[in-house]
Amino acid sequence: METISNGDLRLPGRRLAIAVLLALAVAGCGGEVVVRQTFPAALVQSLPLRAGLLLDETFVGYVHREERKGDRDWSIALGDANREWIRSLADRLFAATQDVTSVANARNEMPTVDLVLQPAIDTVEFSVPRQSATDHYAVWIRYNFSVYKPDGELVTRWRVSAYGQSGDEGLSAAEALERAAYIAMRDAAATVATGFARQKKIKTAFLQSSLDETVEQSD
Amino acid sequence: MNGHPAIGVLTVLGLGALLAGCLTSRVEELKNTATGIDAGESIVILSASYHKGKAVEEDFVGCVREQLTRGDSGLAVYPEQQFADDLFPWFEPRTAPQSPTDLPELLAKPGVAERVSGKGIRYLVWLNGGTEQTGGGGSMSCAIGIGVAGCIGFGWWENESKYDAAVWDLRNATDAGTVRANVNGTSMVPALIIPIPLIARVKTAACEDIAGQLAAFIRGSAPDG
Repeated sequence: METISNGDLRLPGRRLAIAVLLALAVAGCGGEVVVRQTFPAALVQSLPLRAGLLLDETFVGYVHREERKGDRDWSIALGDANREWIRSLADRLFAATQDVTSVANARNEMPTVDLVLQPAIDTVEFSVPRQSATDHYAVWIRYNFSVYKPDGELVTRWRVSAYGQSGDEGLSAAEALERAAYIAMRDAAATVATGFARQKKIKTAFLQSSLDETVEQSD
Repeated sequence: MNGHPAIGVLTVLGLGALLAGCLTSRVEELKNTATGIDAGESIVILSASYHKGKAVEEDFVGCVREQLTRGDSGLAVYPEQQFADDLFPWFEPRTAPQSPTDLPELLAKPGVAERVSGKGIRYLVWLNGGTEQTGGGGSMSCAIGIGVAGCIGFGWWENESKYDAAVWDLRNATDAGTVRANVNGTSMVPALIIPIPLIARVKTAACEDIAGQLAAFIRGSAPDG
Protein backbone atom coordinates (compact mmCIF):
# COMPACT_ATOMS: atom_id res chain seq x y z
CA MET A 1 0.00 0.00 0.00
CA GLU A 2 1.31 3.43 -0.93
CA THR A 3 2.10 5.74 1.95
CA ILE A 4 2.53 9.47 2.01
CA SER A 5 5.66 10.59 3.68
CA ASN A 6 4.23 13.58 5.52
CA GLY A 7 2.12 11.20 7.55
CA ASP A 8 -1.26 12.81 6.76
CA LEU A 9 -2.65 9.72 5.09
CA ARG A 10 -0.25 7.10 6.22
CA LEU A 11 -2.73 4.56 7.46
CA PRO A 12 -4.91 2.66 4.98
CA GLY A 13 -7.68 2.69 7.59
CA ARG A 14 -7.74 6.44 7.57
CA ARG A 15 -8.18 6.49 3.78
CA LEU A 16 -11.02 4.07 4.12
CA ALA A 17 -12.65 6.23 6.73
CA ILE A 18 -12.38 9.29 4.49
CA ALA A 19 -13.83 7.33 1.56
CA VAL A 20 -16.75 6.22 3.73
CA LEU A 21 -17.37 9.77 4.92
CA LEU A 22 -17.28 11.04 1.34
CA ALA A 23 -19.71 8.35 0.28
CA LEU A 24 -22.03 9.24 3.13
CA ALA A 25 -21.80 12.92 2.22
CA VAL A 26 -22.74 12.19 -1.39
CA ALA A 27 -25.59 9.94 -0.26
CA GLY A 28 -26.75 12.71 2.06
CA CYS A 29 -27.22 15.02 -0.94
CA GLY A 30 -30.44 13.20 -1.80
CA GLY A 31 -33.75 14.53 -0.48
CA GLU A 32 -36.38 11.97 0.43
CA VAL A 33 -39.92 13.10 1.10
CA VAL A 34 -42.82 10.95 2.21
CA VAL A 35 -46.10 12.84 2.16
CA ARG A 36 -48.18 12.52 5.31
CA GLN A 37 -51.29 10.39 5.12
CA THR A 38 -53.87 12.10 7.29
CA PHE A 39 -56.61 13.94 5.46
CA PRO A 40 -59.70 15.54 6.97
CA ALA A 41 -63.14 14.11 6.35
CA ALA A 42 -64.93 16.17 3.73
CA LEU A 43 -67.97 18.11 4.83
CA VAL A 44 -70.07 17.36 1.74
CA GLN A 45 -73.39 15.74 1.09
CA SER A 46 -73.07 12.23 -0.27
CA LEU A 47 -74.10 11.62 -3.86
CA PRO A 48 -76.63 8.82 -4.37
CA LEU A 49 -73.99 6.66 -6.03
CA ARG A 50 -72.09 3.51 -5.09
CA ALA A 51 -68.52 3.71 -6.32
CA GLY A 52 -65.92 1.06 -6.97
CA LEU A 53 -62.41 2.40 -6.43
CA LEU A 54 -59.77 1.10 -8.76
CA LEU A 55 -56.52 2.00 -7.04
CA ASP A 56 -53.78 0.37 -9.04
CA GLU A 57 -50.15 -0.01 -8.05
CA THR A 58 -48.95 2.90 -10.18
CA PHE A 59 -51.23 5.17 -8.14
CA VAL A 60 -50.73 3.84 -4.61
CA GLY A 61 -47.03 3.24 -5.14
CA TYR A 62 -46.27 6.49 -6.93
CA VAL A 63 -42.84 7.94 -6.25
CA HIS A 64 -41.64 11.04 -8.09
CA ARG A 65 -37.88 10.99 -8.58
CA GLU A 66 -35.94 13.84 -10.07
CA GLU A 67 -32.26 14.57 -10.52
CA ARG A 68 -31.44 18.24 -10.58
CA LYS A 69 -28.25 19.93 -11.63
CA GLY A 70 -26.92 22.15 -8.90
CA ASP A 71 -29.39 20.76 -6.39
CA ARG A 72 -29.83 17.50 -4.55
CA ASP A 73 -31.68 14.59 -6.12
CA TRP A 74 -35.23 14.35 -4.88
CA SER A 75 -37.58 11.48 -4.23
CA ILE A 76 -41.17 12.33 -3.28
CA ALA A 77 -43.34 9.38 -2.25
CA LEU A 78 -46.95 10.27 -3.02
CA GLY A 79 -48.52 6.81 -3.23
CA ASP A 80 -49.64 6.13 0.34
CA ALA A 81 -50.99 9.64 0.69
CA ASN A 82 -52.80 9.22 -2.65
CA ARG A 83 -54.59 6.14 -1.35
CA GLU A 84 -55.57 7.83 1.90
CA TRP A 85 -57.00 11.02 0.48
CA ILE A 86 -58.99 9.31 -2.27
CA ARG A 87 -60.45 6.78 0.19
CA SER A 88 -61.19 9.44 2.77
CA LEU A 89 -62.94 11.59 0.18
CA ALA A 90 -64.81 8.75 -1.51
CA ASP A 91 -66.22 7.61 1.85
CA ARG A 92 -67.92 11.00 2.17
CA LEU A 93 -68.67 11.76 -1.46
CA PHE A 94 -70.44 8.51 -2.32
CA ALA A 95 -73.20 6.55 -0.64
CA ALA A 96 -70.97 3.46 -0.61
CA THR A 97 -67.46 2.59 -1.77
CA GLN A 98 -65.44 -0.55 -2.22
CA ASP A 99 -62.06 -1.34 -3.75
CA VAL A 100 -62.26 -3.25 -7.02
CA THR A 101 -59.44 -5.00 -8.86
CA SER A 102 -60.46 -4.01 -12.39
CA VAL A 103 -63.27 -2.40 -14.33
CA ALA A 104 -64.22 -5.79 -15.75
CA ASN A 105 -64.47 -7.34 -12.28
CA ALA A 106 -66.29 -4.45 -10.65
CA ARG A 107 -69.78 -5.91 -10.96
CA ASN A 108 -68.69 -9.25 -9.50
CA GLU A 109 -66.87 -7.63 -6.62
CA MET A 110 -69.49 -4.98 -5.88
CA PRO A 111 -72.88 -6.06 -7.27
CA THR A 112 -74.53 -2.71 -6.50
CA VAL A 113 -71.81 -0.63 -8.14
CA ASP A 114 -72.99 2.46 -10.08
CA LEU A 115 -69.59 3.65 -11.30
CA VAL A 116 -65.91 2.82 -11.18
CA LEU A 117 -63.47 5.59 -10.34
CA GLN A 118 -59.85 5.12 -11.34
CA PRO A 119 -57.47 7.89 -10.29
CA ALA A 120 -54.02 8.28 -11.81
CA ILE A 121 -51.18 10.75 -11.60
CA ASP A 122 -50.30 12.25 -14.95
CA THR A 123 -47.42 14.54 -14.01
CA VAL A 124 -45.68 15.93 -10.94
CA GLU A 125 -43.53 19.05 -10.93
CA PHE A 126 -42.00 21.07 -8.16
CA SER A 127 -39.87 24.13 -7.63
CA VAL A 128 -37.53 25.19 -4.87
CA PRO A 129 -36.73 28.79 -3.85
CA ARG A 130 -33.36 28.87 -5.61
CA GLN A 131 -35.04 27.85 -8.84
CA SER A 132 -38.12 30.06 -8.65
CA ALA A 133 -36.43 33.10 -7.07
CA THR A 134 -39.19 33.19 -4.47
CA ASP A 135 -39.21 32.27 -0.82
CA HIS A 136 -41.44 29.24 -1.20
CA TYR A 137 -41.52 25.64 -2.35
CA ALA A 138 -44.25 24.69 -4.82
CA VAL A 139 -45.68 21.39 -6.04
CA TRP A 140 -47.97 20.77 -9.01
CA ILE A 141 -49.73 17.45 -9.45
CA ARG A 142 -51.91 16.67 -12.42
CA TYR A 143 -54.39 13.86 -11.83
CA ASN A 144 -56.58 12.04 -14.28
CA PHE A 145 -59.81 10.59 -12.95
CA SER A 146 -61.28 7.96 -15.23
CA VAL A 147 -64.95 7.28 -14.56
CA TYR A 148 -66.49 4.09 -15.96
CA LYS A 149 -69.94 2.63 -16.09
CA PRO A 150 -70.20 -0.86 -14.56
CA ASP A 151 -70.30 -2.32 -18.08
CA GLY A 152 -66.82 -0.91 -18.74
CA GLU A 153 -67.80 2.10 -20.83
CA LEU A 154 -65.51 5.07 -20.18
CA VAL A 155 -67.72 8.04 -19.32
CA THR A 156 -65.03 10.64 -18.89
CA ARG A 157 -61.39 11.19 -18.09
CA TRP A 158 -61.42 14.22 -15.83
CA ARG A 159 -58.15 16.12 -15.54
CA VAL A 160 -57.56 17.85 -12.21
CA SER A 161 -54.58 20.15 -11.70
CA ALA A 162 -53.57 20.65 -8.09
CA TYR A 163 -51.15 23.12 -6.59
CA GLY A 164 -49.59 23.57 -3.19
CA GLN A 165 -46.97 25.90 -1.85
CA SER A 166 -45.14 26.29 1.40
CA GLY A 167 -42.79 28.82 2.89
CA ASP A 168 -39.59 27.59 4.43
CA GLU A 169 -39.97 29.37 7.76
CA GLY A 170 -38.61 27.00 10.36
CA LEU A 171 -38.70 24.03 7.96
CA SER A 172 -36.01 22.04 6.23
CA ALA A 173 -36.18 21.80 2.43
CA ALA A 174 -37.65 18.29 2.67
CA GLU A 175 -40.25 19.38 5.22
CA ALA A 176 -41.28 22.38 3.13
CA LEU A 177 -41.58 20.23 0.01
CA GLU A 178 -43.63 17.65 1.90
CA ARG A 179 -45.94 20.38 3.10
CA ALA A 180 -46.34 21.79 -0.41
CA ALA A 181 -47.13 18.30 -1.77
CA TYR A 182 -49.64 17.69 1.03
CA ILE A 183 -51.37 21.01 0.29
CA ALA A 184 -51.47 20.09 -3.41
CA MET A 185 -53.19 16.81 -2.52
CA ARG A 186 -55.72 18.65 -0.38
CA ASP A 187 -56.26 20.96 -3.35
CA ALA A 188 -56.98 17.96 -5.56
CA ALA A 189 -59.34 16.49 -2.96
CA ALA A 190 -61.15 19.82 -2.64
CA THR A 191 -61.52 20.09 -6.40
CA VAL A 192 -62.97 16.59 -6.66
CA ALA A 193 -65.23 17.09 -3.65
CA THR A 194 -66.72 20.30 -4.98
CA GLY A 195 -66.59 19.51 -8.69
CA PHE A 196 -67.40 15.86 -9.23
CA ALA A 197 -71.15 16.28 -9.46
CA ARG A 198 -70.74 19.31 -11.72
CA GLN A 199 -68.91 17.42 -14.45
CA LYS A 200 -71.32 17.41 -17.38
CA LYS A 201 -70.65 13.85 -18.50
CA ILE A 202 -70.88 12.54 -14.95
CA LYS A 203 -74.13 14.36 -14.37
CA THR A 204 -75.59 13.02 -17.58
CA ALA A 205 -74.45 9.45 -17.03
CA PHE A 206 -75.12 8.97 -13.33
CA LEU A 207 -77.11 11.80 -11.84
CA GLN A 208 -79.75 12.50 -14.46
CA SER A 209 -82.64 11.12 -12.45
CA SER A 210 -81.82 13.19 -9.38
CA LEU A 211 -79.90 15.93 -11.17
CA ASP A 212 -81.70 19.01 -9.96
CA GLU A 213 -81.95 17.91 -6.38
CA THR A 214 -78.41 16.62 -5.99
CA VAL A 215 -76.53 19.36 -7.79
CA GLU A 216 -78.39 22.12 -5.98
CA GLN A 217 -77.60 20.55 -2.64
CA SER A 218 -73.92 20.04 -3.40
CA ASP A 219 -73.36 23.50 -4.93
CA MET B 1 -15.26 65.06 21.02
CA ASN B 2 -11.82 65.06 22.59
CA GLY B 3 -10.84 61.91 20.79
CA HIS B 4 -11.59 59.44 23.55
CA PRO B 5 -13.19 56.42 21.83
CA ALA B 6 -15.63 55.76 24.68
CA ILE B 7 -17.16 59.22 24.31
CA GLY B 8 -17.64 58.62 20.60
CA VAL B 9 -19.36 55.32 21.24
CA LEU B 10 -21.61 56.81 23.92
CA THR B 11 -22.55 59.68 21.61
CA VAL B 12 -23.51 57.25 18.85
CA LEU B 13 -25.48 55.11 21.30
CA GLY B 14 -27.34 58.15 22.62
CA LEU B 15 -28.19 59.33 19.13
CA GLY B 16 -29.23 55.82 18.21
CA ALA B 17 -31.51 55.52 21.20
CA LEU B 18 -33.26 58.65 20.02
CA LEU B 19 -33.40 57.62 16.38
CA ALA B 20 -34.40 53.99 16.99
CA GLY B 21 -37.75 55.32 18.17
CA CYS B 22 -38.39 56.84 14.76
CA LEU B 23 -41.38 54.73 13.77
CA THR B 24 -44.42 56.33 12.28
CA SER B 25 -47.60 54.37 12.69
CA ARG B 26 -51.11 54.80 11.42
CA VAL B 27 -54.06 52.60 12.35
CA GLU B 28 -57.44 52.87 10.70
CA GLU B 29 -60.74 51.16 11.32
CA LEU B 30 -63.74 50.85 9.08
CA LYS B 31 -66.74 49.41 10.87
CA ASN B 32 -69.80 48.31 8.97
CA THR B 33 -71.86 46.64 11.69
CA ALA B 34 -72.02 46.47 15.46
CA THR B 35 -69.71 43.86 16.89
CA GLY B 36 -69.28 41.97 20.13
CA ILE B 37 -68.27 38.53 21.24
CA ASP B 38 -69.89 36.32 23.85
CA ALA B 39 -68.20 34.03 26.33
CA GLY B 40 -67.53 30.71 24.63
CA GLU B 41 -67.22 32.29 21.19
CA SER B 42 -63.94 32.42 19.29
CA ILE B 43 -62.37 33.90 16.21
CA VAL B 44 -60.27 32.36 13.46
CA ILE B 45 -57.31 34.18 11.96
CA LEU B 46 -56.66 33.23 8.35
CA SER B 47 -53.96 34.49 6.03
CA ALA B 48 -55.15 35.56 2.62
CA SER B 49 -54.65 32.75 0.15
CA TYR B 50 -51.75 32.75 -2.29
CA HIS B 51 -54.43 32.47 -4.95
CA LYS B 52 -55.18 36.12 -4.18
CA GLY B 53 -51.55 37.21 -4.35
CA LYS B 54 -48.71 37.03 -1.89
CA ALA B 55 -49.65 35.23 1.31
CA VAL B 56 -49.04 36.99 4.62
CA GLU B 57 -45.87 35.91 6.43
CA GLU B 58 -46.55 33.09 8.87
CA ASP B 59 -44.63 34.83 11.63
CA PHE B 60 -46.92 37.84 11.32
CA VAL B 61 -50.03 35.68 11.62
CA GLY B 62 -48.48 34.00 14.67
CA CYS B 63 -47.64 37.35 16.20
CA VAL B 64 -51.20 38.68 15.79
CA ARG B 65 -52.59 35.45 17.25
CA GLU B 66 -50.30 35.69 20.24
CA GLN B 67 -51.17 39.34 20.85
CA LEU B 68 -54.90 38.65 20.68
CA THR B 69 -54.80 35.73 23.10
CA ARG B 70 -52.43 37.40 25.58
CA GLY B 71 -53.62 37.99 29.10
CA ASP B 72 -56.66 36.97 31.09
CA SER B 73 -58.96 39.02 28.89
CA GLY B 74 -57.50 37.75 25.62
CA LEU B 75 -59.77 36.58 22.84
CA ALA B 76 -60.24 32.88 22.15
CA VAL B 77 -58.55 32.13 18.82
CA TYR B 78 -59.50 28.88 17.10
CA PRO B 79 -56.49 27.21 15.42
CA GLU B 80 -56.35 27.96 11.69
CA GLN B 81 -55.40 24.45 10.58
CA GLN B 82 -58.05 22.85 12.78
CA PHE B 83 -60.61 25.20 11.25
CA ALA B 84 -59.55 24.28 7.70
CA ASP B 85 -59.79 20.59 8.62
CA ASP B 86 -63.18 20.97 10.29
CA LEU B 87 -64.59 22.81 7.28
CA PHE B 88 -62.75 20.84 4.59
CA PRO B 89 -63.01 21.37 1.61
CA TRP B 90 -64.48 24.85 1.94
CA PHE B 91 -61.47 26.79 3.24
CA GLU B 92 -58.71 25.46 1.02
CA PRO B 93 -56.77 28.12 -0.95
CA ARG B 94 -58.78 27.37 -4.10
CA THR B 95 -62.22 27.07 -2.51
CA ALA B 96 -62.18 29.61 0.32
CA PRO B 97 -64.75 32.41 0.02
CA GLN B 98 -63.32 35.40 -1.80
CA SER B 99 -65.53 38.05 -0.26
CA PRO B 100 -68.15 38.40 2.46
CA THR B 101 -70.83 38.22 -0.22
CA ASP B 102 -69.90 34.53 -0.61
CA LEU B 103 -70.76 33.81 3.04
CA PRO B 104 -74.51 33.19 2.72
CA GLU B 105 -73.92 30.62 -0.04
CA LEU B 106 -71.15 28.95 1.94
CA LEU B 107 -73.15 28.80 5.15
CA ALA B 108 -76.08 27.31 3.23
CA LYS B 109 -74.07 24.27 2.23
CA PRO B 110 -75.01 21.10 4.09
CA GLY B 111 -73.44 20.96 7.51
CA VAL B 112 -71.33 24.11 7.24
CA ALA B 113 -73.36 26.50 9.42
CA GLU B 114 -73.91 23.74 11.98
CA ARG B 115 -70.18 22.97 12.13
CA VAL B 116 -69.28 26.67 12.53
CA SER B 117 -71.82 27.31 15.27
CA GLY B 118 -71.00 23.99 16.95
CA LYS B 119 -67.38 25.09 17.28
CA GLY B 120 -68.44 28.48 18.62
CA ILE B 121 -66.66 30.38 15.86
CA ARG B 122 -68.07 33.88 15.55
CA TYR B 123 -65.62 35.84 13.40
CA LEU B 124 -63.25 35.16 10.54
CA VAL B 125 -60.30 37.53 10.42
CA TRP B 126 -58.50 37.60 7.07
CA LEU B 127 -55.00 39.04 7.27
CA ASN B 128 -53.48 40.59 4.20
CA GLY B 129 -50.37 42.64 3.48
CA GLY B 130 -46.63 42.54 3.93
CA THR B 131 -43.42 44.30 4.84
CA GLU B 132 -41.11 45.78 2.22
CA GLN B 133 -37.94 47.77 2.12
CA THR B 134 -38.73 51.14 0.57
CA GLY B 135 -35.35 52.83 0.62
CA GLY B 136 -31.82 52.79 1.88
CA GLY B 137 -28.36 54.24 1.51
CA GLY B 138 -25.14 55.27 3.20
CA SER B 139 -21.69 53.79 3.16
CA MET B 140 -19.31 52.20 5.61
CA SER B 141 -15.63 51.32 5.49
CA CYS B 142 -13.94 48.79 7.69
CA ALA B 143 -10.24 48.05 8.13
CA ILE B 144 -8.22 45.47 9.97
CA GLY B 145 -4.60 45.96 11.03
CA ILE B 146 -2.24 44.28 13.44
CA GLY B 147 -3.96 44.55 16.77
CA VAL B 148 -6.62 47.00 15.59
CA ALA B 149 -9.87 46.82 13.64
CA GLY B 150 -12.64 49.27 13.13
CA CYS B 151 -15.34 50.70 10.88
CA ILE B 152 -16.48 54.18 10.06
CA GLY B 153 -19.54 55.31 8.20
CA PHE B 154 -23.30 55.16 8.28
CA GLY B 155 -25.83 52.87 6.61
CA TRP B 156 -29.62 53.09 6.71
CA TRP B 157 -32.70 51.52 5.22
CA GLU B 158 -36.40 52.17 5.48
CA ASN B 159 -39.10 49.52 5.82
CA GLU B 160 -42.83 49.80 5.46
CA SER B 161 -45.34 47.36 6.94
CA LYS B 162 -48.87 47.55 5.51
CA TYR B 163 -51.42 45.05 6.77
CA ASP B 164 -55.16 44.88 6.94
CA ALA B 165 -57.53 42.57 8.76
CA ALA B 166 -60.97 42.03 7.26
CA VAL B 167 -63.48 40.84 9.85
CA TRP B 168 -66.39 38.68 8.72
CA ASP B 169 -69.21 37.94 11.10
CA LEU B 170 -70.18 34.29 10.64
CA ARG B 171 -73.29 34.49 12.84
CA ASN B 172 -74.83 37.17 10.66
CA ALA B 173 -72.98 36.35 7.43
CA THR B 174 -71.84 39.94 7.06
CA ASP B 175 -68.74 42.04 6.54
CA ALA B 176 -68.17 43.54 9.99
CA GLY B 177 -65.39 45.83 8.82
CA THR B 178 -61.65 46.23 8.38
CA VAL B 179 -58.71 47.28 10.51
CA ARG B 180 -55.57 48.61 8.83
CA ALA B 181 -52.10 49.29 10.16
CA ASN B 182 -49.37 51.12 8.31
CA VAL B 183 -45.96 51.47 9.96
CA ASN B 184 -42.83 53.08 8.52
CA GLY B 185 -39.46 52.93 10.18
CA THR B 186 -35.84 53.65 9.47
CA SER B 187 -33.13 51.27 10.60
CA MET B 188 -29.53 52.42 10.69
CA VAL B 189 -26.04 51.26 11.40
CA PRO B 190 -23.76 54.08 12.54
CA ALA B 191 -20.16 53.02 12.86
CA LEU B 192 -17.45 54.84 14.74
CA ILE B 193 -14.96 52.04 15.31
CA ILE B 194 -17.78 49.63 16.20
CA PRO B 195 -20.90 49.33 13.99
CA ILE B 196 -24.05 49.61 16.09
CA PRO B 197 -27.21 48.29 14.36
CA LEU B 198 -30.33 50.20 15.39
CA ILE B 199 -33.23 48.26 13.98
CA ALA B 200 -36.70 49.72 13.59
CA ARG B 201 -39.03 46.78 14.20
CA VAL B 202 -41.78 47.85 11.85
CA LYS B 203 -43.39 44.44 11.47
CA THR B 204 -43.63 43.92 15.22
CA ALA B 205 -45.09 47.40 15.61
CA ALA B 206 -47.64 46.69 12.87
CA CYS B 207 -48.54 43.41 14.56
CA GLU B 208 -49.09 45.08 17.92
CA ASP B 209 -51.04 47.93 16.36
CA ILE B 210 -53.36 45.75 14.31
CA ALA B 211 -53.90 43.25 17.13
CA GLY B 212 -54.73 45.97 19.65
CA GLN B 213 -57.20 47.61 17.30
CA LEU B 214 -58.65 44.27 16.25
CA ALA B 215 -59.34 43.23 19.84
CA ALA B 216 -61.19 46.47 20.48
CA PHE B 217 -63.03 46.17 17.17
CA ILE B 218 -64.28 42.67 17.90
CA ARG B 219 -65.26 43.37 21.47
CA GLY B 220 -67.19 46.36 20.24
CA SER B 221 -65.44 48.70 22.64
CA ALA B 222 -63.54 51.87 21.85
CA PRO B 223 -59.89 51.33 20.98
CA ASP B 224 -57.37 51.90 23.75
CA GLY B 225 -55.43 55.13 23.73
